[in-house]
Amino acid sequence: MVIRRLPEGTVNRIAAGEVIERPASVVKELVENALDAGARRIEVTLGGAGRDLIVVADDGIGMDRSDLMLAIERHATSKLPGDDLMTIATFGFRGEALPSIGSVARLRIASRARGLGEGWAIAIDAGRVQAVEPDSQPVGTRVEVRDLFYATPARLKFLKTDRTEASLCHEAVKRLAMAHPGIAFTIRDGAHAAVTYPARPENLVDGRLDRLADVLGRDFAKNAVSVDATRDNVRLTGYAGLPTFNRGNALAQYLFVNGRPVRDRLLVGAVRAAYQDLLARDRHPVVALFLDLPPGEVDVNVHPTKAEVRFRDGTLVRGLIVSALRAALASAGHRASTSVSAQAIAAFRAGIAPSGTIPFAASLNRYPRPGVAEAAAAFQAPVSAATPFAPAARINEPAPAAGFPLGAAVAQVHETYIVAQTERGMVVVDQHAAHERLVFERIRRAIDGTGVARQILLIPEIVELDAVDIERLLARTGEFAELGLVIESFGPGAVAVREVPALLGEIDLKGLMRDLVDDLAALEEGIALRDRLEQVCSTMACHGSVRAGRRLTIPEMNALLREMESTPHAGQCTHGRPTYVELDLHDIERLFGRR
Amino acid sequence: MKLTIERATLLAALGHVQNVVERRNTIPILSNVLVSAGDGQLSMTATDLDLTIVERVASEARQSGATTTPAHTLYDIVRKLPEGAQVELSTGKDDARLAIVAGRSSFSLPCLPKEDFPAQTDDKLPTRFRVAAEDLRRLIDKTRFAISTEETRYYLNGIYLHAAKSAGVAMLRAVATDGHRLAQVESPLPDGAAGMPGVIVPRKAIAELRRLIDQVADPIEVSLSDTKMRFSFGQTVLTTKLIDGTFPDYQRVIPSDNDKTLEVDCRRFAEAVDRVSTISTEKSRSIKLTIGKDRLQLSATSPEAGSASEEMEVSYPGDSLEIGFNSKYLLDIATQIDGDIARIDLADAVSPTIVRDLGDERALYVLMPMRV
Amino acid sequence: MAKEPVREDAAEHPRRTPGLVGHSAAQSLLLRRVADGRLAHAWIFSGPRGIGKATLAYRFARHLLSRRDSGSEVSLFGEPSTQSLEVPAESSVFRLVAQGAHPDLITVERAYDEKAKRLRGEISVDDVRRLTPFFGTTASGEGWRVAIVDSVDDLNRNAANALLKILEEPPERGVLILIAHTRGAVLPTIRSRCATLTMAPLAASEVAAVLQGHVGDLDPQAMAEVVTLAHGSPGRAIELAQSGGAAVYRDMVGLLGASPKGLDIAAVHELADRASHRGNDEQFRVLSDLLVEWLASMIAAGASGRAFRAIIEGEEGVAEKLWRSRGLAQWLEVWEKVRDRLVQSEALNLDRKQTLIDVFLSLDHVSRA
Repeated sequence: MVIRRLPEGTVNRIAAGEVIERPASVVKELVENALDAGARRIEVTLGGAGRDLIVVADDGIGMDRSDLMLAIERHATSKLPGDDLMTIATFGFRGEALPSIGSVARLRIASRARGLGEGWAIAIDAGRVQAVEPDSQPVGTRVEVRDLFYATPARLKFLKTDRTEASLCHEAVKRLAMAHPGIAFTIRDGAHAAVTYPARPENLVDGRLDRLADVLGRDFAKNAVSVDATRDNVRLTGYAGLPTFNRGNALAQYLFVNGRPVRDRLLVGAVRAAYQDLLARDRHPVVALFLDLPPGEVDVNVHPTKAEVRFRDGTLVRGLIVSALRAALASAGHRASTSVSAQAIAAFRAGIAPSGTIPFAASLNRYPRPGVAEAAAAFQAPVSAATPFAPAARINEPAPAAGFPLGAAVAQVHETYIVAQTERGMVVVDQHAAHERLVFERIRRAIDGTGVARQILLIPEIVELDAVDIERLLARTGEFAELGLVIESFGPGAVAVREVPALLGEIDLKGLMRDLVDDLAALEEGIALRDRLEQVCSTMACHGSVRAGRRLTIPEMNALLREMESTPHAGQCTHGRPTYVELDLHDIERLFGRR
Repeated sequence: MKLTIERATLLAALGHVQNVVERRNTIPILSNVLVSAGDGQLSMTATDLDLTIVERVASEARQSGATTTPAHTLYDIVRKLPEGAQVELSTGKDDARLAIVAGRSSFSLPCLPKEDFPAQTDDKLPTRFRVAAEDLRRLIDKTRFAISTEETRYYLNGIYLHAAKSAGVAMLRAVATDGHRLAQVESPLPDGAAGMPGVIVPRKAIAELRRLIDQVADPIEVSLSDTKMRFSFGQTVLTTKLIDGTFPDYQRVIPSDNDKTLEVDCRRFAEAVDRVSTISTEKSRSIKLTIGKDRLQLSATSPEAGSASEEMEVSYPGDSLEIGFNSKYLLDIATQIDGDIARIDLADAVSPTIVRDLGDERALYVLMPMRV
Repeated sequence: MAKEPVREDAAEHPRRTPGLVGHSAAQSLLLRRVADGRLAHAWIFSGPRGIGKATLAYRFARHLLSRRDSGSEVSLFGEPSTQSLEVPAESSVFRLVAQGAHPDLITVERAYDEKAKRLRGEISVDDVRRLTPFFGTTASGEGWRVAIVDSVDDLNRNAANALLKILEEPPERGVLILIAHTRGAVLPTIRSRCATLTMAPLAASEVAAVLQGHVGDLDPQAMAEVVTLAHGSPGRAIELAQSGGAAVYRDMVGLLGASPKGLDIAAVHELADRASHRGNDEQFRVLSDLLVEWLASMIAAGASGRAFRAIIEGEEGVAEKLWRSRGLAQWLEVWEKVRDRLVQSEALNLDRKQTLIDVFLSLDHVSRA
C-alpha cells in the first residue's frame, strides 16, 4: 500500500485534537486501519484491559519497508487520494493514529506486503524509532502496543477501572463488527473466553442480521424489523427494534455513516422522533442503522474521534430516517415483542430470589422493571370481589382461528382482557389499551389526511427569543406550518406567532415556543409541537375508547382483533405498553414442565 | 355578640357572600366568614384575598361584637333550618365558639379571632359613578364569553372597562378577547366616569358580580382607583383587586374597510351552524362558509364522521368567498345577538371578520377565520 | 426555623416567628436598600439550614407590607421604623402574615399531600405558576407585593424554569425572596437575576439563646451537646433538642464503638425502629445527618492528624479505632455511599428501618474486613 505525506495545507485543514484517549481508542484506530487494509480476519488481544497490551493482527494487504517507515510519521496516511477532505471514504484519513500511539506507548508494527517474500518490523518507544528489522510476519499487519500512556502518566490517571476500560474496548470492536459482517473478528482479553464473530455472508440482508444477532443477542433479531429506504442518493438500511423491545437508556442505538460508527445528535433526534408516539418519554428503542451516502454529502472532519458528522443536507437525512423507520414499524403492525411474553412467563414462575445481600446495592433492586410488573399484573388480575358468584370468565366455543395472527376470541376475563386462541398458541389482549391505539391511529389518519386546521390569531403573540434560536425556528417554518403553527420573524430577538393548531385551543404560546427551541437545540427536532398534538389525540383516543370493565360479545372481540391486525403500531398502546401478550404452545408447555 | 334574626334574611345574606369562599382552603381563616353585629346592623364579610363581599342587614343586636366562623358550615346549617325560624347567634365569653339556636336545634361552631381576618382597608377610590344595573348586566353578558382562560396571558383574563368616544359620543366600553375573537360593547358614559382609568376586572369578580346583580333594579354605585374597584347595590358591597397589566391596543385589530357585507337571519344561522358542526367531532370544530350571491352554504367534513352541508338564503351582493371558522366561536357570537338579523362584514378568508347586531349598534364582535 | 418536616399549620412556622436572633448586618443592609429606594426586585437569602433565612424573609416581608411609600397616609401603627425591620406582633400585618392570609404576600413551598399525609418531596411547576396571577393582580393597598419561595432547593426542574420566566419579567412594586440552603444548587440563570444576601451560621451563644426560648427544660449538659451538634443553626438545635438528638447521638456512637468486635444487633434494631417510626420523618433525618456528619469528622480528623472533636466521652477512641481499620480512600467511598444511600432512601421513600440497619451492618462489615 502506498503511504503518502499529507501536504501542509491538508494538515492544517484537519481539525486539531487528540485521537488517543484510552485503550478503546487505540483498539478502534487499529481495527479501522486493518479494515482499510482489506483484512478478512481481524484478531484483537488485550492484556490488562489494554493498559499493558493491545495487539491487532490482520490478514490485509500489508506494508513494505518504506510504507512502514512513512506510517509512523504524523499526518502520513495511505487514505487520502486527492487531498480532498470532502470525499473521505476510508476510516483513518487523519493519518494521526499510529504516530499518536507511538508517542505515548511502546509500539511495534510488523507487516508483510502481499506478494513480497519478507516482512519488516519497526519499533517505536515514546516517539523514538528504536529499530527497523526483518521479521517473519506472514502477509498482513500485526500492531503491538505495550504500556500505553507510560510516557504520559497523567493520562493513566483518567482511566476508569479495568472492567470499564475492557468493556469499552469490546464495545469499539462490536460497533465495527456490526458494520462489517463479512469480516471475522476475534477478541481475547485474558479474563473471559475469546469472543468470536464468524464471517457472515457480506452484503446480504441475512448476513447482516446474523451479525447483529451475534453482537446484540438473539432477542434483537427476533424483535427487529428490517429497514431499507433510499431518498436521492442516500440509503438507509438496518434493523429497528420493536417499540415494546425498549431500554431505559439510549445506549443501544447503533448508528453508522458509511460504515463508520457515529453518535450524532441529528441521527439520535431523528430516531427519537420516529419512535415518539410509540414509546413513553423515558424509554428508548434499540436500533442498528446504516446510512450510506456519497462521501461529498457528509463531513466527518468535525470531531477528532470522528464520532460526530455533519451532513450537507441534514433535512433530507432526517426525513429519510423518520419516514423509513415509521414505515418499517407500521409494517410490523400489531407485533408486540416476544420479550413481553417472556416476561409474562417469568412472572408465572415462582422465582427464588438470589440470597445474600450485597451491601449498599441491595434495596435499590426492589423496583421491578415496569414491563414485568404490567405483564404480571395482566396475569394476576384480582378476582372481582364485588360479584362473587358471577363467573370471572365467559367462555365460548372458539371460531376457527385459521389465517388470523391474533386468532379467534375465546373468552373475556374480568371484563378487561380478551383471551384468543391462535394457530400456535394463545393471546391475551388488554381491551382498553388496544382500542385506545386503534382510535388514536384513526384520529391521526384523519389529521394527516386533511392537514391540521389552523386558527389565525387576532392578536399575534410576540415571543422574545435568542437570535440563534430564532434562526433555528425560522429554518423550520414549513414543517411547523404543516402542523398548524405559523411563525414569522418579528425584528431582531423576537418572532410573531400568527396561526396556531386549532386542535390545541387557547394555549401558552410562549411556553410552547420555548419548548420547541429547547428541542431544536438538543435534538435538531421540534418534538414539542407534535408531542402536544398527539397528546390531545391521545386524550381524545383515551376518552373515546372501550373502558376496561365493559362486557364485549364474541363478535365485538373478534372485530377488535381483526382491526388490530390491520392497524399500524397496534402492538402497543399510546403510552408504549403492550396491548397484548402472546404465549405460544411451546411457552405453555414450558410452563407446565412438559419440555 | 348576641342577636336574633329571621332565617330567610340571614340565609339570603349568607348566600350572597359564601360563594366567594373557596371550598378547599389551606388557610383556615379564609374558610371563614366575618360576622359582626352593632349599630343596628349585622354584617357578613367573605374574601378570597382578591375579592371581598360584604353584606349588611338590619338587625338590632342585644350585644354587639364580631367573630369569624366557617362559612360553608354556617350556610348549610341555616339552609336546613325550617322556614320562618328565628335564629339566635351568640358568642360566649372568650369568643371561641359561635352558638346558633333555632327552636329546638342548637349548634356550636369553632371561631377564629376577628383580628386575623383580612379586613378591608379604607381605600381612596377617587372615581365614583352610578350605572344602571341593566347596562352593567349587558356589558358583562355580551363580552364575558370572549375572556381568555390562558393564565400566562393574565392581562386578558378579564373585561377591560374604560371610557371611550364612539362617533363623538362618550361611552363606557367593555372589551374582552382571547386572541382568537373579541367582543366590544358600550353603554352611555355615566356622570362622573369621564376621568376613570381603564381597568381590567378579573374573571372571578365578573362572575360573582353578575350573579349578585341578576335581580337588582336600582342603579349600581361604582367607585374605583387604578388598583381597586367597588360595586355597591342594595345591602351588598363587592370589592375586587384588578388585573395589573396593560390591555392590548385592541382598536388596531378591528378592521374598518371590510367591504363584503353578508346579512343573515341570526336564529336560523345559529341553528344551521349547530347542525352542521355535529360532524366536526374533532376539537377544532371547523366549519366552512361558502358565500355566493344571496346564498350561503355551511359545510363540514371529517374523515371519521362523514360530512354535512346546509344551504340558506341570505342577503349578499358581493363576490363569492370561501372562509372557515371555529363553529363554537360562531355560535358564541350568534348567541349574543338579540335582534333578528346579524350583519357580517368580511374582507377575505384570512382577515378579521366583524359581526354586528343590526338591532344594536353598540355591540361589535371580531372573529378571526381558520385555515382548513 | 425548624420548619422542614413540620406541617403547614405547625406553630414553629417562620411566618409566625416574631423575633430574629443575630443577622444584624443582613437586616441593616435590607433596611438601607429600602430607604435608598434601591431595593432589588429579587433576592436570594442563602446559608445553611435552620439559621433563620425564612424567619428573616417573613420579617422583611412584614416590614415591606407595613410601608406606605407611595401614599402620604400613615398606617394604623405609624410608619415603620427606619432602624429596625420589627413589626409589632399585635399589628394587623403581623397577624395576617402569621395566618397566611395577607393579600399581598404569597408563599411557595412544598405542598402538603392530603393523600400521602406528608409534605410533597418537591415544589412543582403548578406551585410556582401561582405567582403569575398573584403578580398579575394589583396590590390590595398601595404598597408592595411580596413572594417568598421556600426553598429553591426544593424546586424541581420545571418549577425552576417557571420561576425563571417570572424573574425575566419582574413585576413592578413586587419583591421575590428566594430561600436557598445551598447557593451552588441554584440555577445560574436564576442566580444572575437576583441579589444575594449571604447569611452566616450563628455563634454558639446565640444558638443557645434561641434554644432556651424554645425548649426551656434542658439540662446544661444536653444543652451544650445540642448546641455543638447544631453547628450554628438554631433550627437544627431545636430539631435536635425536640427529637432527643443528644440521646440518638450517644446511641449512635455507642453502636459505632462496638464495631468491629461485635455489633449489637438488638441495639441496631432498636435505634433503627425509633428513627423510622412512621410519621416521624424528623427522627430519621436527624439520625441520618448525625451519622453522615460523624463519619465526615472522623475522616477529616484522621486524614489531617488533628484531634477528633469529641462531644461525648470516649468518642475519640471510637473514631480512632474505626479510622485505623481502613484507608482514606475507602473511608471516603464509604462516607459517600452512606450519604447517597440515606438521601435516596428519603427521595425514593424506601423502607427506612431496613436502610438504617443496612448502613450499620455495612459499616460494621467495612471496619472488619
